[in-house]
Amino acid sequence: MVSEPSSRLLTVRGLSKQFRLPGNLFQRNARVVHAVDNVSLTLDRGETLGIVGESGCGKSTLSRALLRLIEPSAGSIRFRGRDIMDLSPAEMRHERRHMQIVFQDPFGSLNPRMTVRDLITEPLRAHSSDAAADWQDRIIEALEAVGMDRHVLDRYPHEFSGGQRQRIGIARAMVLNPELLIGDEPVSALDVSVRAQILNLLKRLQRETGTGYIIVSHDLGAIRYVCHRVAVMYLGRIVEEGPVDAVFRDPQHPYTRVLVAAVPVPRMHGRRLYLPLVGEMPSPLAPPPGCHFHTRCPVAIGRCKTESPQLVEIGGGRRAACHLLTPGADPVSLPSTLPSPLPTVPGSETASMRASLSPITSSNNNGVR
Amino acid sequence: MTLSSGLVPDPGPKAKATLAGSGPLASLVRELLLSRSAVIGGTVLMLVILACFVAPHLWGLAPNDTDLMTRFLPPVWSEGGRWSHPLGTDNLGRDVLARILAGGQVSLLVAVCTVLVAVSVGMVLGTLAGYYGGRVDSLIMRVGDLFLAYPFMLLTISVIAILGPSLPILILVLALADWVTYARTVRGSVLSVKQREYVVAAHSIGTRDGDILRHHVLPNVLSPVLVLGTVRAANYIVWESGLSFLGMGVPPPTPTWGMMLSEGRDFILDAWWLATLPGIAIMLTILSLNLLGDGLRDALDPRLKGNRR
Repeated sequence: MVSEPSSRLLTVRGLSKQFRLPGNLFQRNARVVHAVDNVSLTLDRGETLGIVGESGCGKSTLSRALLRLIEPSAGSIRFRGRDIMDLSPAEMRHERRHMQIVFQDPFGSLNPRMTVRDLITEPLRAHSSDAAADWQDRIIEALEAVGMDRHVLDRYPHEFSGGQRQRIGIARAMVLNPELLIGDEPVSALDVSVRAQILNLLKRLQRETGTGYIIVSHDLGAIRYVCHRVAVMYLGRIVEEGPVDAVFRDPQHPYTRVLVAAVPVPRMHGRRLYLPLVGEMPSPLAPPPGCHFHTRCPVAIGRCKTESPQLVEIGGGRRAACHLLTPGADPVSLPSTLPSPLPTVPGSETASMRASLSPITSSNNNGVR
Repeated sequence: MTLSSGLVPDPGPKAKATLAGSGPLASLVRELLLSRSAVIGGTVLMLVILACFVAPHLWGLAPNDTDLMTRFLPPVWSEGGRWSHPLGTDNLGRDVLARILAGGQVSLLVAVCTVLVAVSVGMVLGTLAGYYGGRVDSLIMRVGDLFLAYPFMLLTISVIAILGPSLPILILVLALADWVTYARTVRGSVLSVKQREYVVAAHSIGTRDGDILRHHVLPNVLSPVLVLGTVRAANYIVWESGLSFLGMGVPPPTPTWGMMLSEGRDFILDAWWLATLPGIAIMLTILSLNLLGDGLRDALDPRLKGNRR
């Protein structure tokens, strides 16, 4: 086994999760949803990894599978130097003190019958060996760390706004000083004005505690703001991964390009290429063979339909899973910058798909102004 | 009933102020006192209980004394009524008031104990089935279906035929016949609560199963069960009368509300009070139980705290 750097917190290899849908009277063979398909990733201490993708790409399932809240079907998760897939339920319960999660919905993830004190006490009761009398200080400390004061201790969740509730959720997750914090769309349910506050809070807490974060989101702006690295998911697989600035500034994988291009920018005179992605994401019940993205990919070649591309190094600490990006591929086959016209791949069967992609450049975008 | 209303405790702001204690119980009582339905229900129930269990001892009522000279006396407010028998007499000249009070002892005991036993069994099995699912769930629910499919009367008759009629057996049999109702309700609530994000959150925090059940699942299951229990209590009073009628319940001279109801049915045209008055007693008890249950449910919900009518 390759030795890991000591700063390595989490190493995930080949993680998969399949959900079996029950068959019915006429359909004996249970159908299988491949929600997460052979995902490998790493996280260092004090680092933030973003996971982005469209709805239904498996990012939430991945975040829960990493914590074994959903039992993965295959793969290994090395956390703090040991494989947590081998842990018994009791050992796993103890290990959970080091791995916490903040949920998307601050309304649903806090029990409405518990006071703030009860909510933040819960992790302590589950794990702390200290006397209950010593909890008070830690609870107040955690509350103050998220910018709330001790007067709220005996209030109930419904008395707070969404942003305040999310702060309570973060206080609850951080009170045990976990080494890994997973945020499952932590700001998606919040008002835009509150998002930045929560993101700043997360950044500050990370500076103070050195906790490793994995932030799952479909909000590229939020990811770019808080993350060091980003992994782009499509239909259960990671298609591109690398330092967040590099990936967003110069996306390599065709899917990442479309995703980045689709971010709306509040600029009136922007020169932007609008690349509408045609069609829907294929059903994870019947993922297309080969590269999952080939059905919508503007530059797919014949090989994409039969052979799945591996996630390989493409330089600059980046990895991508695309046949056109693997070393030895025809360098002309992929445009190097986004606004340039999409190339014609000779002899490719994807001409119709390219046509339907219909890039609109700023020159014929005047009517929008 | 006929007791003076001077016994009604005044749950005004004064009571609220004197109950300034802390702790969950004191705060629950405070919340209950703020709820009009809980105060009315609790007061009426208290009166019924006092009347049934205390009044007979104070005045030495004789529910089984017959007097054939004064048969079918109407209540005192009707023509021909007498103060010696305020609620009239039955076909054997027995005092209806005395019988209602004495009958209430048995009926209340049966109703309350049956609810307690059936709810305990139903809660435990329903929670196990809902929370753990899989085989445990299948096993418990199939056994439950068996109980539902089996005719209630046949079940009780066979059990009582073997064990002999007595009050504890009667309560056990009634609970045995009805635990499934609670188990199914509890299971359904547990299944829905289990999907809530805060239960997943508790699991991710590493909370023990027991704590998850206690803090997150059971409080949510309690309110449907409270409501169901207060409603089902009426059924037990009636079921008990059915069993008594068949000689499977309480032996005949002892009055119960259900038995008085079924006996009085024969004379409904000539002596309306024989069936109506025990019926009112049942209704009053169930109504107060329901009101109290409603208030209790609201008092247990922090979202309604402080803005109760």
